[in-house]
Amino acid sequence: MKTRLPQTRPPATAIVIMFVVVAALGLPQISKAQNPLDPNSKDRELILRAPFDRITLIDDTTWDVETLAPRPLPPFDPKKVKARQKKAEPLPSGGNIGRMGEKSNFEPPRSKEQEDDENQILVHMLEGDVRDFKVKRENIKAITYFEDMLVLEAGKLTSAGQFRKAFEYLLQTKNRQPHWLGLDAAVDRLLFEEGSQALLENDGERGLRLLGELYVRRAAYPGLANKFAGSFVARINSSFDLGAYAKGRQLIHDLERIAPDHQVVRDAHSKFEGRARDLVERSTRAEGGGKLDLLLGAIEVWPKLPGLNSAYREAFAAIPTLDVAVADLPQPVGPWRRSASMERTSPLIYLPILSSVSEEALRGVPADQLAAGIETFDLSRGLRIKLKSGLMWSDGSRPVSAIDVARSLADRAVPTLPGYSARWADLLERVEVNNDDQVEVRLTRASLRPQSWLIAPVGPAHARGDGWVSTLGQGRRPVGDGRFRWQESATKGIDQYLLDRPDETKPAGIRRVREVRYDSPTAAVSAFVRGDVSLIEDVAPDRVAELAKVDGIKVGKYPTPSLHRIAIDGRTTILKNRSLRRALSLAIDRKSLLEESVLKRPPDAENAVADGPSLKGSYSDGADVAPLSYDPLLAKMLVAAARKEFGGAIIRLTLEHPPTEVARAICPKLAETWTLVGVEIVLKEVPEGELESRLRAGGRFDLAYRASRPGDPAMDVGPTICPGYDAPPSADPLASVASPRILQLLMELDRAPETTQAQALVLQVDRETRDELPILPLWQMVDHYAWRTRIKGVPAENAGLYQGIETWEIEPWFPSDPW
Amino acid sequence: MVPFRSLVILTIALVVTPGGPTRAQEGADEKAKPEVKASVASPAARPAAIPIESRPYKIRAYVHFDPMTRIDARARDRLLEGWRNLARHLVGPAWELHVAESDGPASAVNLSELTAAELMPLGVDSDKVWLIQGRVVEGAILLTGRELDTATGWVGSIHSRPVPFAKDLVRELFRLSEALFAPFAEIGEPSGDAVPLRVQASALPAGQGGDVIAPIGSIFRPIRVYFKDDGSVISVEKVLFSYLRIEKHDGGTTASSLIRGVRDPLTKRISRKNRLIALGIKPAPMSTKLRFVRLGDRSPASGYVLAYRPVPQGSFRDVATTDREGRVSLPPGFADGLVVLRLIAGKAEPMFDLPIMPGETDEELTVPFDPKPHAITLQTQLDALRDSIVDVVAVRSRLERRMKAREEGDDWAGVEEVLVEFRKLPLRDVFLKRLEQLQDDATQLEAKTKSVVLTKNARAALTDTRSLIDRYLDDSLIRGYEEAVGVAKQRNAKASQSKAKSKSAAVIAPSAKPKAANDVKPDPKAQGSGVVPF
Repeated sequence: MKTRLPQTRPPATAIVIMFVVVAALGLPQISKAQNPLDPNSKDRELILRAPFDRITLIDDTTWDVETLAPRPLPPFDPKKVKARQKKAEPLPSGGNIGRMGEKSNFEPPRSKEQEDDENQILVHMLEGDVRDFKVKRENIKAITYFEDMLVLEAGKLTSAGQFRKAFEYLLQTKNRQPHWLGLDAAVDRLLFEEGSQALLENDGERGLRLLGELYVRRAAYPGLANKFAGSFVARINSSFDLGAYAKGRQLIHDLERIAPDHQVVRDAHSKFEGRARDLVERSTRAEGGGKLDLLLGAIEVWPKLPGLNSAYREAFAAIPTLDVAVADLPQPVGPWRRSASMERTSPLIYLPILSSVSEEALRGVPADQLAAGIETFDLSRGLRIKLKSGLMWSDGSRPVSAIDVARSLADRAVPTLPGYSARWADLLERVEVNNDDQVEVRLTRASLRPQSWLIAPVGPAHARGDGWVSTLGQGRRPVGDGRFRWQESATKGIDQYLLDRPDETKPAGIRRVREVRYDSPTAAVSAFVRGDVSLIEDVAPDRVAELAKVDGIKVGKYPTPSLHRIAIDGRTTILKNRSLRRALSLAIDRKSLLEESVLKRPPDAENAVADGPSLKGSYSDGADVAPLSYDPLLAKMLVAAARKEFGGAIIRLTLEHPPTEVARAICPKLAETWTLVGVEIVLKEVPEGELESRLRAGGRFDLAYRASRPGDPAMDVGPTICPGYDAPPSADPLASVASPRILQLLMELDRAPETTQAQALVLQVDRETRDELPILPLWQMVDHYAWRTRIKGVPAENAGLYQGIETWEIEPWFPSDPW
Repeated sequence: MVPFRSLVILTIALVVTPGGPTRAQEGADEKAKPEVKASVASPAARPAAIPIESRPYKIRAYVHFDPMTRIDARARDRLLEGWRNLARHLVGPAWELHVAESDGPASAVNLSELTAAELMPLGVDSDKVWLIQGRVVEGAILLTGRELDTATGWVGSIHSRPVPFAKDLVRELFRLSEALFAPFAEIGEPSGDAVPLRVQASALPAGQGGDVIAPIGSIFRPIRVYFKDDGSVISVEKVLFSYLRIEKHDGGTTASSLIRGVRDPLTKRISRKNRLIALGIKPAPMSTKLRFVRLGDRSPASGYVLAYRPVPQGSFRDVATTDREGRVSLPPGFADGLVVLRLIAGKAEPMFDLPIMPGETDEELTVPFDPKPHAITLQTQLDALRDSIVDVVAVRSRLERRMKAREEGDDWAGVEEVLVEFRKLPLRDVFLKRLEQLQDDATQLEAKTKSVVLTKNARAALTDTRSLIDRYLDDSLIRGYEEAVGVAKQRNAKASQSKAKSKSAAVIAPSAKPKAANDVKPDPKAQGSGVVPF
């Protein structure tokens, strides 16, 4: 006989009513205003509320309860429960006790309590005095988990464009239940929508980043490929239009990985290849450097164009070109040296009378000079210059002769001409041309090393004062007798060319030099590392070690350190005040600046703080000169004293500096330091060539950051201290030496007839500079250049960047994509 | 237009005919400077009846207007009449101004190339000859003129006056004549730097324009005239770097002060017969060109600063720096009157002071001087020493303030810390020793080289440095602090000792009454007082 288990299940409605009644008794008064600070307050944003779940009963009432566990609850099938309850398994005939050693196979019917435990859940209401309830699963129509609510809300926010908020919701969901159903889809949707919106807002980088993330998560997301393609096309076109072809190719490559067969990819390929083909086609009608440039242009657009490699190599072999990154271009080009850029290029374009004052040079041995021999007479008051024969001017008009040398020497004594040198004008008495290959120079007095004055470049006598010659059909251009001739580029001010003379062809040597000016040292180094240039003129000291480690790059150094200092213009009345100059010097913490901002490492013997206008270890460096102190408090007091002397007005000075790495790092710090001690500084960045030319011409300034590699101290200490030392007197340049005492010593040095006296004077200048401070010495530093190993023959130490260029060779190279 | 040019030339010819007695050319020695073929009428030749102070100036003026000025003969006559009237009115009887009817040589000569020989024939029976030209420059009339003093043969500087408005011509012509006019004076017996003058026409009544002849403050240039026994002039030379400034008029005598750059310029220790006279001088609108060279090797003095101050008083202002050749060119009008130039070596060591009238001559004046190199070196060393002293004084001042603050807070340990820093600074004696060493070295060098090392400036600098040391490197304050620290230490030590004693007394007291420890009973009084016995 079957015993029906008592039906303990009351009717649902009764349950509900009971639930409601009990709940009503237990719930707090609903009429109370919801407390916004209450974490359960319904007024609060969902994400700010304490987590809760929402139960919908079968009568469609919903109740917010504390979060259930497990999450989610295991699935519940009320039909199964009913079936289980109906079916009561009868006792087997053999009884319900298993045999010895065996387990009973009889599954006893579950008790009512057991059934109740499985079929109902314990809920804890959020409100009310009595909050704990048991609810049967069968009475629950639906449970909306807190995570679901978050995901749903995130979806709404995504649709509304509130992506940040949506992200927060999804993040919270992930923190609670990383694998919640629907979370991934919601995240995917958020990425897609946000990325699309970013693209619409022209924030391509961000948009692509988000879509890229989505791609990683789910590459097959509907519409993703089209979205990518649409966003890439704008950027690819933009890169193409701006000439940033490398970037354009990178974008094409990235797009290809996502949507390889997309029409956009195919169109982009066509565009780039078309441009490259066009350039190749134009190159077939060009020759020499023009042909090479067109082919290089094609390579820059699309290096993988078939046949381009071989065409380029062939063109390169005809005119091997050296690309050089430089800080500044000489403006204008001429047979004089008024800036570092002119000093770099003029030896290539113009031969000097003497390449150096060595014995070999005086005998005429070096090939890169005009003199075949120099003879002094009349107790060094006369020079007899014998010239080499066979040298022609680059315009082919005539050979280099004595008249050119005579004209150059005479022009340097004319104040209105660019090559004027006041010291030379003071020294020169007359120049005579004895015959076509001999010039005699008479000096007003015996001079220390008169041959030193013959190292300057020589221009043609048939040129005008600026060294340029009018040529038929080619306008005015500089004419030189050096290995290279200058050619202006179409992109004036950005680059320039130096072409090998046609009669100097050496198939393996460098026949063309292209100097490219970069806006910043960082850009120059980047271009060098990329391979856009093969040689870089200047490498910042803190990047030397890093570059030296790069494959295919070598770093060399200029043997003579450069001396960095702040030039002072004594024509600015306040700067004649000794207290102020001392204050400016005392305010500079040279050691810290050098170590922390320039070298980024401790100083050493060659890279060290300076105490005067002489390099350490040179014969003019006074070993007993005490280092310059750093005492900002004393500096402040001295500034106050100086201000008082000048009526209490604020002292305001301009500090001009070139756009070099070191100057850009240091000058703002100097300005800040000086401002702290009471001197207001206005910074002014000026291109190096422009600044140096103006200073050397005697232009006015207050303070100027200068760096140069000094030569013989007896000759160079004057220009080191006073930028306009050789400027025309009309500019009153000597008044710019802030210390009259130092000026007198320099004047005496100019007239020193013999070495011993000159050395004593230059040593005295070094010693007295410490106290007189006509300049503010900073430090000396070894400068470096770097080259790519495709150039052969570049020495590890070179006095000039291009010294020995006639022996260099270069292999062709063109950029290729890393993929 | 010179309608009577031929007559003028004839006159000149007659005048220069040898044998004709002229006051200017009589007995001129050919060795005299070409531009100075004058002769000063010896005292015997001058009419004794009229003293010089009462004798007016006979001025002969030749005035020419370039045709571009559009001043025709009639306008010229009116202009010159106006000028004469103005001169009479403003100057008075001191000027007897005769304007030549014709332009005379004023129309033909280049004023910058004028010589006394050319002008002397025009000055017959005249004390002064004026050549005045008017021409158009940049749309305005420019009047230019030059004066010859017939007594000395001195050709004055070129003066000019722009006349923007034609109606101002008369007035500007008068102003020009004032600028041209160089009064003549005989130099009396100097007494030190006080020099009496007898200025021609100074006793005559002045016109409405006040004293034009020799106003107070005006400058005269002494000139030495060498003559033979018969009174004929050998040569006329100006006394270099010396000027006379009118100080006051005392009856017929005019008192002046000598402003000189050389020693005893009006010396009588000259073997040749000579006489000292003076001519007025005013600044001229010309550059003043100077060249400074070192004594001995005559090497140029490059890089020296040139400063000037106005006479009689004023402070020096920098005006130029000598170039590589030791030259300076002071622009016209850099000063309004006589100035004293000072060449400065180094920062402030004056080489010399030299009076000069701006634009006095268009020729370059070479000035040799002793460069005093050792004095300059000494000055540089003194400057460096002073800088060091100033630095130390500044640091000491900071440390003293710190010590004071700590002293006020009774932080004697802190004071001692600062004293440690203080002791690291150079002592007063170090600087004194260095200063004395410099002075001794300079003295020895002076004796050895027989040159000036301890100049007035250097001595002043030495004194100044010594007083700097005495005043600011006084160690008494520091010694005071050191003593105070010592006293504080002692006090603290005593206090520590007494504390220790009181502690040990509390320890000793129980043992004075030896009892077992557990026999010690607490003192109720002590308990009541809050003191807990051991």
